[in-house]
Amino acid sequence: MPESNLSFVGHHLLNRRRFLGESCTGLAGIALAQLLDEQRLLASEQTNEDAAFLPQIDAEQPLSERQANYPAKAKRVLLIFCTGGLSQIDSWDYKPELIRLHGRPFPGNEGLVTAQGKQGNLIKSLYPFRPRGETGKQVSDLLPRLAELTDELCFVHSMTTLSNAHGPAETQMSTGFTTDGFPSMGAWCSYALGTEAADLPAFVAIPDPRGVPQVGPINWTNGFLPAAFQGMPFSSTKPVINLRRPAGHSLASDAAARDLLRQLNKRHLQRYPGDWELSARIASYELAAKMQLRVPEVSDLSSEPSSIWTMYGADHSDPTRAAFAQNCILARRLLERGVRFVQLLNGTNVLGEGVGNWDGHKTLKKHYDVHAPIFDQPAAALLTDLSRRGLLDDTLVVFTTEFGRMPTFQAGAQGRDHNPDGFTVWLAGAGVKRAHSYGASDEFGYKAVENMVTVYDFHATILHLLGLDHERLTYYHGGVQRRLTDVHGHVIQGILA
Amino acid sequence: MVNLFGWVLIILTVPWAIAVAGIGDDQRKPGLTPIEFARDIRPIFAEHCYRCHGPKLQKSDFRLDGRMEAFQGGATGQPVIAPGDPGRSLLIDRISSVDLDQRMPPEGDPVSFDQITLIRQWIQQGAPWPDESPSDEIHWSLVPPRWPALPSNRNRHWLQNPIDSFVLARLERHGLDSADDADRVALLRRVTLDLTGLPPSPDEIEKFITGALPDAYEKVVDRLLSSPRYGERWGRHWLDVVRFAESAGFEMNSVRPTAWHYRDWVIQSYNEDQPYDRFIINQLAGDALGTPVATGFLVAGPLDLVSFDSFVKATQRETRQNELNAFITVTGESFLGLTVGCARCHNHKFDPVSQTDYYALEAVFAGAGHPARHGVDGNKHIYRAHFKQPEKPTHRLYRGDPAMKREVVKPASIRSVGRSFELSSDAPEQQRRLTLARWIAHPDNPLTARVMANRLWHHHFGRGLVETPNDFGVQGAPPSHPQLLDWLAKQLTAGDWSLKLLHRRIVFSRTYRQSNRTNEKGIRGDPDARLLSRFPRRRLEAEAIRDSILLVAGNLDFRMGGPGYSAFHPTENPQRGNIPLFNPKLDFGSAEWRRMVYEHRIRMEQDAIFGAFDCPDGGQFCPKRTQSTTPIQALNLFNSRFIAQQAKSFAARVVTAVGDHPLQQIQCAYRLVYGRDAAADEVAACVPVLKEHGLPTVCRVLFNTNEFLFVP
Repeated sequence: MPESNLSFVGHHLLNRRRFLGESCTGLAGIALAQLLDEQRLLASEQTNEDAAFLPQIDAEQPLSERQANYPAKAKRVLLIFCTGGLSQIDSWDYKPELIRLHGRPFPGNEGLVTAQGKQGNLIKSLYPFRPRGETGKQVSDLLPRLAELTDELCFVHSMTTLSNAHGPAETQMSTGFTTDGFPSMGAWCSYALGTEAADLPAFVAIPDPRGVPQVGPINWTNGFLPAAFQGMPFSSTKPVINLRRPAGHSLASDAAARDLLRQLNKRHLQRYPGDWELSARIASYELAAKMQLRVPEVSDLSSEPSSIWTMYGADHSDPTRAAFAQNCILARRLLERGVRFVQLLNGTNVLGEGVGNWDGHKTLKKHYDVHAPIFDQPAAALLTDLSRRGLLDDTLVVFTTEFGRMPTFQAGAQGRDHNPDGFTVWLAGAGVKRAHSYGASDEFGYKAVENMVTVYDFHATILHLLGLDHERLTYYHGGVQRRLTDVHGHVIQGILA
Repeated sequence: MVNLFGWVLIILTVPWAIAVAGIGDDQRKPGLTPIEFARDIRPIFAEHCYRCHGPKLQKSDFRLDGRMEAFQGGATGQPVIAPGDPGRSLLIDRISSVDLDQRMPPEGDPVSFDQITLIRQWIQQGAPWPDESPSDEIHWSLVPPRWPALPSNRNRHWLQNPIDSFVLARLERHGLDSADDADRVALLRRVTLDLTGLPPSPDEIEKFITGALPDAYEKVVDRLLSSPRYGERWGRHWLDVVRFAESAGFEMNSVRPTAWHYRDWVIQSYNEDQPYDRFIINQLAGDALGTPVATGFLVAGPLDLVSFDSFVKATQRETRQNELNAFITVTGESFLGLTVGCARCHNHKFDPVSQTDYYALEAVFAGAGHPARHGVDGNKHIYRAHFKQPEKPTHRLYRGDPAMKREVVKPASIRSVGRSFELSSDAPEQQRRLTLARWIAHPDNPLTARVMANRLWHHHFGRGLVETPNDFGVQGAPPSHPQLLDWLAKQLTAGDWSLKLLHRRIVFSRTYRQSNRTNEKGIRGDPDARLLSRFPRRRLEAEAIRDSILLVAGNLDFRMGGPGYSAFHPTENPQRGNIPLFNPKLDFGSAEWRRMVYEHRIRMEQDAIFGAFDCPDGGQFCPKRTQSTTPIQALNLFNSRFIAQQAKSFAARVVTAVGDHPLQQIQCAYRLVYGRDAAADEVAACVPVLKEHGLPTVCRVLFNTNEFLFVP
C-alpha cells in the first residue's frame, strides 16, 4: 500500500514504528513495542488523545519498573484474602439489634431462601463484641490480636459482590469478573508498574499451607495479559524447586549454558519478528537466573531472629498455624525487597466445606474456633512488623474475603449461609485513613445500606492508591480496551487519608 | 487500514455490549448499570415465565419469549408491557401482586424484589427489546449444519481443498494473503508432533525430503495416523475433556488403581479409528455393547468420598445429586458443548435448557453410580460406572434442593435440541442411556458433529473455530469461520464419523501446510493468526515436551497400556488417618520413562517438573489448555535432575553414533533434536561450549531452546 493512501492512524503507526525501529535495539523489543503501540493508538483514536494509559513494556525486560499515572501513596500491595466467606457478623460488623432479636424470626425476611436453602432465625455473633482502642469501636473476640490493632484499620462495612457462589465470587474479587479468563489485580499491577525488585517476581501468591482456594491459580492469573505478569505461587511449605543448578555442573558451565541458550534463542527469534511469546520465554530464563540467586535468600526464614519467630507464632506446635505464620514472615520479606504485589491466601476448599476455610454453613463455631487462631496471631504480627519497619508508609495492606455471611442460621444447622449483599473488608497503611469506618450494613448486618461499595469500587481504590487511574489502565483484547473494573467503579474517596 | 478502522468503529459503537459480556450468571443490582434486555431482563423471563409462556406452552394465549407476542399481550386484552408506563403494565401487576391467586409465577420462586425493580425500570425506559434478540431466532449451533456453498476466491491456484477456500475468503475480505508453504522439515516436524506428540527421526526426515510431493506427504500422514503413537497423543486430548484422573479428589483423594482401563480403551479407540458415534454410545452405554470399560467416562471425575459416607441423610442426598450432576455435565459438555449443569437449580439463563430438561437427563442416569455406590470395590475391578434399575421416579427439585421435590420428570432428551425423545418413568435403566446415546450420536443432532469437528481443529491449530470448545451456547464464543465449521461437521457425519478421515482433510489442506513465519503485514492485520494468514505458532504441551526429550535422548519406553508409572513417592500419612500424601518425585529412572499419558494422574497434585507447563489436574473439564510462560518452567527445564540425566543420555547417544569429533557431534545432535543440520554460526556458537564444558552441557541447552519447544 503506498504511503499516501494511509489513513491518519496508518501514518501514525508508521511514524511511530520508524521511531521505535531506530530507538530499540532488540528485534523482539520492536515487535512488542509495536503491538503495544498499536494499542495505544487505537485507544487514543477511540476517545481523546491521552485517555488510555498503556505502559511501555520492554519485551526483554517486561518487569522493569514503570511510572504510575500520578504520584502514588502506595508503592506496593499486600492483599490478604480469607477464602470461603469470612463472617462479618461474627467479626467486625457490630449489630445491637441482632443481639436484641437473637433467636427470633428475621423480620420482613421470614422464610428467606439463600444459596443453600431455607433460613432459620436471627443469630447474634457467636463471639462477644467489646470496645477497642481509642475510638472504642466494637470488635468481636473472634480474632483478638487483630482486634487490638483496630485503631490502625480502615473498615468498609458496605462491601457487596455479584455472586453468592464461591467460584464466581472469588474470581470477581481477584479479577473483577465472575467468569475466568480475565487478569488478576496483581497481574494488572505488575503490567502497569513492573517491579522495584529486578531479581524477584513482581507478583507473588502465597497459598495457604492447607491448599489452594476454590479457583486456585485464577486468583493469580495473567488472563489475557502477557504471561510475564502472572503471579508466581510459592510458600514456606511449597518452596520453588529446581532453584539450584544440577549437581556436578560448575558455575562456569552453568553460565556458558545460559549464554549459549540466549544466543540460539535470539537467532531463532529473528525468523519470527513480532512474536512476543518467544521473547517472553527468553525473558523468563533471564528472570529465572536472577531468581535462582535471590529466591533462596528471601525464602530462608532461618535468618530471622527468634523474637520474630515468636511474635508471628512461626514456631507454634500446630503445624498449620506455624506454616501460615511462616508465610506471613515470607510476605514481609518479599515486600521489604520491593515485590509489587503479594497475595497472601488463607483457607482452602480442598478439605471440604468449611473444614479448611471460612465457609461456616453447618457448624460455624466449631470451624471458626480452628481457623481463627491460625490466622489471628500471624496476621496481627505481620501488620505490627510492617508498621515497626516503616513499611506501612508506602505499603497498602488490604484484607478481603469473597462474600459475607447471613445474620441467620441456616434452617436446621449451626452456621450461616453466603451473603453477597453486605460484608466487611478493611485496609491499612499507605494512603488510607486510620481508625475509620466507612459505609454501613442494615441493622442486622444483612445488606449494605449506606455508601454501598462494589468490587469495582474496591479495585478502583486500590489502583488509585498505587497512582493508577482505573479508567485509563487498559489492555486491548477481543475488540475492547479492557479494564480491571470493566465499565464500572468509583474511587472510594471517603477512606483516603 | 480498513481493518483498523473497522475495529475502531466497532469499539465506538458497541463498547457496552462487548465490555459486559464477561458478566454472566449473577443477579444484577438495579441501578448499577444501564439496563440491557438480553442481559438483564430476558434471563428473568427465562427463569420465571417461559415454562408457561414460552415455546412449549402459551397459557392464557400469551407468550413472552418473542418480541411481537410479548407486546401483543394475552387473553385479558390488557397490555402486558406498556412501554414507558409500568403502572399500566399487567406484567408488573402480576409479578408483584400480594394476592397469591393472581401472582405470577403461580409456583416456583417468586420474582425477587431486585428483579421486579429492574423490569420496572426497563419498562420505564420504554421497554427496549432489540429485534435481533436471540429468542426470536434459534441460536446458530442449534440449527442443523448444512453443506455450505464454497465461497469465491481470487487466488484460486492456492486452494488445495475446500477448507482453504473458506479460510482464504476470510483473508481476502481482510486484504490479507496466505503465507508461503512451510519448508519440508518444518512441515514434517509439525505434522509428526501434531499427530503423534513426538518429533520425527532423522531417517524419517531424510526419506521425506527426498521423496516426491504430494506422494511423500500422503505416505507420511498414512504412517502417522496408523502409528499407535497417534492414539496416545489424541486420546490424551479426550482425557482432558472428560477430566480423567486416577484419584477421587476432595479431602480423601484416594487413588483409583484400576482407572487406567478406561484410559487404555480411549487410546485404543482412537488408534482403531472407532467411528465417533460408536465412541459416544460406548461411553454412555458400553455395558449394552460388550464394552463396559467405556463407561469409565461417566466416573472419570472426582467424587466426594467423605460426604458419600456421611451419616446425615441430607448430605447423602446432596452427594448423590452431585454425583448425578457430574454424569449430566460431562455428557452435556463433552458431546454437545452445552453447559447443561446450569439448569440444575433454575432454567438455564442463556441457553434453551430448562430445569425439566436437566431432570429428564437425571432420569436417564438415575440408575448409574460410581463403583462404591453399588458396593463394588473399585480397586479390584475395572473402575467404571455401575448400573441398577431405579426404584423411584425422578422428580424436578425446586432450586436443586433434594428436600424440595416437585413433579415427576420422565427420561428424555433436551427438548430444544434436534428431534426429542421421551421414555416412560419405568423404562429399563439401560434403555434410557442407550436411547440418549443414540440421540446424541444421531447424524441429525445439530451439535454433536460440530463440537467434535471443532475439537479436532482446536488441536491441529491450537485454537478452535469456536474458542469455547465445551460451550456452544449463547455464552460461548461464536465461530470464527461458521461455514467452515459446518463443512467439517458434514464431513465428519458423511465420512461415517471417521476421525482419521477428518484429520486427513485438515492436514492435507494448504491452510495447515502454511509457514508459521511472521511478516509485517501478517503481524499487523492478523496479530494472533486468528484469521490463519499463517500457521499459528504454539508451545508444545507438557506431555509432548517430556516425551520428546525422552525420545531424543534415546530413552523413551514405548510400552503401551496397563497401570501407569507414578510421579510421586508412596508415603504414609499417620497424622491424617488414611488420607494419602503425594510427595513429588525429583528423580526418575527407566521405570518412569514411558510416555506421559501413562503417568498415574492424581487430582490436585502435579508432576514436579512438567506440571508447571499448564498440565490440567483433572479437577475441571479442560477442553483447552492455557499456554503460560513462567520462570518456574524455565527453572524446571534448566535445572531439574531429569533434564541433566536426559542430556547425559542424549550426549552418549551422539557419541555412540559419530564418535569424538566435535563438529560431527554438533551436527548429529542438531539432526536428532531439530531434524536439520546446524548452520555455520550455530556450530561456531556450540563448539566452544562443547570443548570447555562437555557435550551434555550443549544437550541441556538444546532441550531448552524455543525451536525445540514450539510447534514449527
